[in-house]
Amino acid sequence: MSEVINFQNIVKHFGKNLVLNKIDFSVQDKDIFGLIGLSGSGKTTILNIMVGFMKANKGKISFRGKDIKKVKREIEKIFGFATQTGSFYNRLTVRENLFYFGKMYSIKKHEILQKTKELLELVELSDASNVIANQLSIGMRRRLDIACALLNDPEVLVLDEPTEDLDPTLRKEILALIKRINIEKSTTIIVTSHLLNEMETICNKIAILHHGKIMEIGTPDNLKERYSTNEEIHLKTIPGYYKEILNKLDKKNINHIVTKKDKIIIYTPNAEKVLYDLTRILRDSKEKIVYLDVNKPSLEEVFESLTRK
Amino acid sequence: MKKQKKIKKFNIKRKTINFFIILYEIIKKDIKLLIRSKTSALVILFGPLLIIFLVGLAFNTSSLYNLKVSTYSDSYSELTESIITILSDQQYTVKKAFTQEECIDGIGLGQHHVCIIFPAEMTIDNAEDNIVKFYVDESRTNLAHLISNTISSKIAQKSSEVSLSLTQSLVNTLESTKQEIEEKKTLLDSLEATSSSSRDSVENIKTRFTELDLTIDKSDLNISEAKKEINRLISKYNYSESIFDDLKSKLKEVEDGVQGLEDKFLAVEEVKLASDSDLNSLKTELTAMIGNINSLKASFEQIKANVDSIKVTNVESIVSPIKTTIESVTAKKTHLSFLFPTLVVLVLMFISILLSSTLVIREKISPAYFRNFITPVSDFVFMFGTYLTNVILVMFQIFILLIAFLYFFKGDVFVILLNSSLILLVSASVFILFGMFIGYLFKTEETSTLGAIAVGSLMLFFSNTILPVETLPGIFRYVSLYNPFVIAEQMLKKVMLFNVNLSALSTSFYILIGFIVVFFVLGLIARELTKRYFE
Ligand SMILES: Nc1ncnc2c1ncn2[C@@H]1O[C@H](COP(=O)(O)OP(=O)(O)OP(=O)(O)O)[C@@H](O)[C@H]1O
Ligand SMILES: [Mg+2]
Repeated sequence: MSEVINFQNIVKHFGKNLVLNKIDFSVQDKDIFGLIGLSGSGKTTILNIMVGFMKANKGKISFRGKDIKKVKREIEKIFGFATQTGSFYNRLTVRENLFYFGKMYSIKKHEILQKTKELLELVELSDASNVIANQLSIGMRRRLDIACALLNDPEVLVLDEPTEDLDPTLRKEILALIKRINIEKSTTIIVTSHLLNEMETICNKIAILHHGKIMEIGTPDNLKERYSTNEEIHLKTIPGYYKEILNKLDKKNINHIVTKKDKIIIYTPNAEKVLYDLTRILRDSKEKIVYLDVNKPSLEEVFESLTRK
Repeated sequence: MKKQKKIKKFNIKRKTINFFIILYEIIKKDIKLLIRSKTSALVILFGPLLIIFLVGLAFNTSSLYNLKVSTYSDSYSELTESIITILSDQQYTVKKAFTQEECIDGIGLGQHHVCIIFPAEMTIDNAEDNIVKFYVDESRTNLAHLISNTISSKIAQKSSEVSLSLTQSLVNTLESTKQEIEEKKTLLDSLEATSSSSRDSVENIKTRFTELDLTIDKSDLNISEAKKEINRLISKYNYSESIFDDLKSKLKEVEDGVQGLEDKFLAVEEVKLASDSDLNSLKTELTAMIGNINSLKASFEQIKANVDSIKVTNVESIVSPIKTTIESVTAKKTHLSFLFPTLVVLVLMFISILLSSTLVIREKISPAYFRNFITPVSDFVFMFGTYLTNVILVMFQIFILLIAFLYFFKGDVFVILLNSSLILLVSASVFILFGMFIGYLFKTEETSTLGAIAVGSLMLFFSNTILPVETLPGIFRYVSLYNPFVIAEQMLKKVMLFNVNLSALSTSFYILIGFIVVFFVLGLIARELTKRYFE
């Protein structure tokens, strides 16, 4: 396993809007790397910076040890990129789009035709091959974009939220496809999503992006384990001066606290003790319990707890 | 080693082929996209035709329609009235103003386009200089020029008509004088003949007079001998003297008669002498008269010769011996032909700039931009492809324009067409690359279109088309010399109207090629700078 891509200290802001704040992570050969984050967390921005479409304000990305800017032409040949919004000509048909971009990769005509046939079958667009891209449904557009990304048999395939907008069957098929490509062609895949449970099934590595930072990174099992020692206490009170409550709370047994508008989530290895403590504080500060729940977190909940406000 | 070289060579060859295949695909795609958008296809196909058609309609005549003319004169003469008639016979609406102020102020108020002030009682005579004053709205320079030109020409037409008739009568008089002289010359001839014959008669009379001998020799009569004979007879025969008395008295009578005759003859001789001198003087007088008649004849002859020597008796050529109709350089028929090169370059400029900037910005904001960006095709190829697409489209439109050109310029057009095509290609390239540069600079189609129009208008403004370049302040005049629009327009004019050889235009070509290089580089830079949307 060798390192394919390495992000070091990437900072990106749009004007005053700091989107990426010192991102560090690396993708290994043949990984299916899942980048999970809420809408607007900066997933697409990371990918764009990676392919040079956007410039980082700080930091460095290397590809197999080399500065990615210096091997741009090489990368262009071996990268495949399925965008979130679809990057193709709306006024060309599905087939024409594939042919045109195939030519841009200098693929020979008969190969393109062969490839087009395969890919259209793969993404189930054979029937729509002569439809103008404009007239495709959102799911069809996404599939066309995936087909475009696969034209050059990429070594590194980047998929920006490939399952968004797809119906459940298709979703499963795309996920299966990603897995298959990874296995059959040893393709390194970077895939983004805001649905962790989906990624759980296919990724061997997951990074959780939030507030411009990688909050957690690891294999799905890693992540689960890291949080499974904890129990989750969800608490909702009236009038809900959570700050004061937390101030009085003994932090010794607490790993992590998430404060939200109307509730707090406390991660602790010793829920019993914390609860005992809590009830005392609540009584003293005349807070009335509206909701109280204690449980073990799923990965989804880990993600939610990390990212929800 | 050798093998490697071979492979390298092969690779280069494949690369160039690949380059062209990719270019071809880019162009094919661009044109497909454009055609699939029906409005842009229509604009591209019919835009230039429509413009040419409209402008053609607007300019396809050298005169003005619907021109409102106001006139004023303190008193209108027959001549002014006839000028007014001429004007209203044309497309002009002529109205007489009541006062001079009304006439002049009406221009500012937009009531009429031109005010003409005629002098009072304008007539054609030697004393007066007839000054007809024009008032036009100078702020509408082109209109003012056109109006004063047209109306001046109309009035000039009238004034030349007037001088025409004046000269005609002059020529007629000369002609009739000549005829008169011709006729009267025979009279002189006969006069001369009679005078000569009179002189001859006088001569005859004179000779006859001189030949007349009036001398009488009395000795021939010998009356004294007869008397002596009588006396001898008397003495011889002693005849009585009385017998001979009768005879003697008879002799005496004869003698007396002879004496009387002699006296009469003497008187006649005196008369003869006197007549002779009279006849002499008559003769000299007659001779003098003949001399006079001859000299009269000679001067008649001279007059006739002089009149004859006026070769031009065609009145029009006397009035305007040099005619100045502006034509012959081209076979142009209308204003439009003269305007045609400007029009072509104008259409070319706007279409090129707009089309290329639109194409670039559409590509830039197209969702496919990203995918093109991540393909291993260089910026240069994309840019070149866009440029070629534009060239093809613009050339297609120029083709349409040149068909229109064929319609206006009949004759030996092939060389002109070839040369103009080259000029058009080069100048189109300048405008296309300029437009592409604009397209790369802006972020939305609207702003880029605005930018393109602004640039086009600027180039149009700093050219001869709206204001004469000569009226611009120094620096702008200098700048406008390097205005690609001006350069292209002038080149095309030279080639289309004056059939100038291309080699004479090399400097202009170099300037345009300079522009091409500059805009291509600028375009590449702008593309590089703007492709990452957000720095
Ligand atoms: N071109 C841009 N100009 C300014 N701000 C931008 C631009 N692109 C992204 N942003 C900002 O960067 C942040 C991250 O955007 P990004 O598209 O990377 O999020 P994302 O994680 O891909 O979201 P989604 O799941 O909705 O695709 C957002 O706050 C967005 O407003
Ligand atoms: Mg995104």
